[in-house]
Amino acid sequence: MSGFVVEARAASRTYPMPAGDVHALKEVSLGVPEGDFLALMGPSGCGKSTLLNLFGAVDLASSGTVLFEGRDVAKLDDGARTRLRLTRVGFVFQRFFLLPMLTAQENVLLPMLEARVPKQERAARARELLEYVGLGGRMDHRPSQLSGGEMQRVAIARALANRPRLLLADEPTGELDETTGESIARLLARLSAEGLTIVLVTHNPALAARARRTLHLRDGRIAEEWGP
Amino acid sequence: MIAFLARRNLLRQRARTLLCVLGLAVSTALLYDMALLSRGLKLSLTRILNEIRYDLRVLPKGGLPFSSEAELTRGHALAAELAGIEGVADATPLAATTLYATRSGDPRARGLAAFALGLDPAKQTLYRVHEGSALAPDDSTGVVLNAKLADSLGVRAGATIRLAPSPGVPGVEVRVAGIAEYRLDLHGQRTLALAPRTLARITGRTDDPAAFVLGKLAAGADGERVVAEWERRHPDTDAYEVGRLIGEIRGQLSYFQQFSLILGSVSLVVTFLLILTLLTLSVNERQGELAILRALGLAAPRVTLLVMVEGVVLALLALLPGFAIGALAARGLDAILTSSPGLPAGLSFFVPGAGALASTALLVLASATLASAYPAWLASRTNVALTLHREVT
Repeated sequence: MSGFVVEARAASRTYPMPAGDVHALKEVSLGVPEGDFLALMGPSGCGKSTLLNLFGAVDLASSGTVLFEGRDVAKLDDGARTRLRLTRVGFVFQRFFLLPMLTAQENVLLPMLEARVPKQERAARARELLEYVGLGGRMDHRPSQLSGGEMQRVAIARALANRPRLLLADEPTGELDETTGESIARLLARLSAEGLTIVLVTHNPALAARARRTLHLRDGRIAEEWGP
Repeated sequence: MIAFLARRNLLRQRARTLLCVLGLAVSTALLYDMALLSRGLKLSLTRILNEIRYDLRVLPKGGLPFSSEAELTRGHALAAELAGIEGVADATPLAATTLYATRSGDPRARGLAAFALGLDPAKQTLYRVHEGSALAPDDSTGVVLNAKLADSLGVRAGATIRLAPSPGVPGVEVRVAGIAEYRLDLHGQRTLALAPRTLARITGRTDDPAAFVLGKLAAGADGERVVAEWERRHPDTDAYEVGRLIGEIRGQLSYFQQFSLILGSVSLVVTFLLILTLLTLSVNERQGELAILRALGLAAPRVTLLVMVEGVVLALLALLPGFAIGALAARGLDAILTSSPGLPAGLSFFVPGAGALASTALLVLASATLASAYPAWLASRTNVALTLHREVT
């Protein structure tokens, strides 16, 4: 066991393109311990989201290794990686990506339905999570009836539905105004304080400031690290 | 979960789903009608022939019942011989000719041509009386008219009419015993039935003519063996068991089956293309959502299943309206086809039944499943990281 929730060991990711290979990530080694709140910063195209995708098992490293709870993600079959995403990882995206035909509550219920959480338990947990993110009164609203900040709160509640060990957030305040972004930042800080391991990608210094440590990436490599 | 998501996906674009279901309902209706047409004639013929309750037919060589002027002579002797073959329980001749009918006491009236059946009153199964009475076994003055002839003459049961072998001849006076419905009547045909000796009295013929001889098999008898024995004895005649007779008639009308096969195949292709097009469009539009579902933990086979279920649900939604439209269309088409000259009025080309419903439903669902396979495959191979990246940028 590596002792980390997730760990990259000399992980690289190369995308073959007609104009030539794009090296999005170059031999990055990084461990995320339990309870960590890590912010990844850097210019566009520096590999932040790529690293997040490798941590979340939605993509595989071209070389090197990514270990999730000590298991080599590349050695898991698609079904096991899917199961890992379902039960161990929560995703929050810049554009929220809520399913438009479902209500806020149904969006939150979705991962629990797939994980076969018993009916009464999942209904209670969805209600509890939406109340936790401050949307107890908007459970039956569709995404089109919610503001950007509210949609992102629903997305966070959805990410937490199966009680993941790791929350991955890719530019969670990227589509929000300053005030709304600040409320999302406070929510993430609260989750971190309660012990959840969080890795987020952001361009927002105020949000990064709430993280325990911040890594700067440049040209696919870790350029510098701030934090304890 | 899959059913829940499929339902919501179909409901989010209500107009598009409705139009697709309507299109599928129309193609289902066509397929259903073709399923009815492909076996309707056989079912209908079988029903009529079974109602007549005679399993064997002996005909002049090369003919079908009532299909030509050809006739047998010595009908009663042939019937007695047929009844004597092992395995035959009973037999009776059936004579057919044209007689001219006038109402008694109306000397100016021209005779109305009517199809006359000379049959043994005790053994007849060709008509069902709904006014008056059937011919008594020893009745030599009575006739049973069909409603068309009775209306044309303006007579009811109990009246007297005159029957002649040719127009302009005074003929013989007979009593209308009853008005009946004939199982083999053609559309608009005027028909009457009378005892053979009454017919002989009118036509003056003494050679006992018969259009064909009907035979009834004993329980458990081998009809094919009886037919073979009869044909050995009388190579100048054709003998049929009901099943073979139906086969001969079906053979002569096989173009209906070819027609139903071609149009049924077209409707299946339309079903396939409708579902394929709609789901492929839908999957392409929902690439981002499908990537999210995969990121959230929906396995690729589950995404495949989701799209397949959407296709099958579309087909299921179309079944009920499809059957309703098909039933209405079948009624109209049947009215057109059975009004063709030379067909028994009781015949139907479209006979509803559970078999046609089940085979149509199975074919539509199979077509929908096949059509869903390609978009389902497209959906399952969504590159999650790339698609999410594209959705953001």
